[in-house]
Amino acid sequence: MKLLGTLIMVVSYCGLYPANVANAGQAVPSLCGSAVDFAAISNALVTANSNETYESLAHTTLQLTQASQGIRVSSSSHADVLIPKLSVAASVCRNRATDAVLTNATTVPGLDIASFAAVTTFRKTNPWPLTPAPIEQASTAVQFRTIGRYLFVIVSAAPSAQSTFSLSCGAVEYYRVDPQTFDVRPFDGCVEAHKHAPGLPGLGGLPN
Amino acid sequence: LANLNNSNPAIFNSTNQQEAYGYIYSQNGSTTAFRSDGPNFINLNEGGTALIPGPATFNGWTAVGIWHTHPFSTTNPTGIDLNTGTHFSPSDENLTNSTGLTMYVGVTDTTSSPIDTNPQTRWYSYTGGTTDTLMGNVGNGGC
Repeated sequence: MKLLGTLIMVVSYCGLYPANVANAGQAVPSLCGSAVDFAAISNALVTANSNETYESLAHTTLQLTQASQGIRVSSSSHADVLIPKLSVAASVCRNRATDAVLTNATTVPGLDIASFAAVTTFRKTNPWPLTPAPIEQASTAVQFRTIGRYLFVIVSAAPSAQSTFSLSCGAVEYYRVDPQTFDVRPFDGCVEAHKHAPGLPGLGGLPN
Repeated sequence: LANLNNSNPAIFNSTNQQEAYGYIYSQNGSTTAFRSDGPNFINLNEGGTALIPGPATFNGWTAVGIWHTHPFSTTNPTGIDLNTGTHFSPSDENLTNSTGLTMYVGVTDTTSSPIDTNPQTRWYSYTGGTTDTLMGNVGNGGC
């Protein structure tokens, strides 16, 4: 009887799985940094928000070097640009699983910057339907994750912006970026129990 | 969590935006004498926010931990938050980092990739940093 119950439970759970498992897989963490720093790099390199611009940037690796007036960003495909010193708000990534923090990085994948530019362009006309992350603040973190063939861009408010005794999705925005077409799909990645905002699917609800 | 799983297993597969929670207390700093309260239940709003009361006051007892549940998600069956990289949300980790309370979460999840077909109800702990710890299956002791 116990075995039958277990079988029923497994079958029941199996029935819950979405047919689309394109997003399945463990997230591979990569870079994390302040939103204003990514914006500075993006604004300096992305002169036109077009797929051609994103693609050319996506195939480069950016070198960051200290300069007397700021940080020099150089690559094989773009002229060198100078951006302000990176934010000292390294604490924005303190509790984030990541393999590199931007303030310590000497190289940055061009794909990350291209994806960030695609996301910031997208969110200008498609406001985050829940509490948005204050992307203009240095304390706001931007993280990149890879799952399968997609790049995920997560923009999150500083923890201090959240009440201490809360079970909350906070001000966190989740985007999936197709690295070939730069199609941006927002989704609700919060693990707390809550109702998704209309038109905001969960991770597995995104189309292939 | 084990009692909750016996009395209200649906909470781990909740579709009504509800979570259960409670606090864990130590008697006079003891490492062996504990008590917990709850389960209390709370509904999160559409924006995904719910304020919960702080720990209760019991004479001679000090809050050392907090536990709560997350629902099983068909769209994120591993239950791992992309933001934190753990089974805990940013607000969960913020609570621990702000108060020092060890956070426990009970969640029905899968652990393999691609998705396996045998979700289990497990519990995890978070004490700070960038990783969490699998404590075991709910009901298999220790909780």
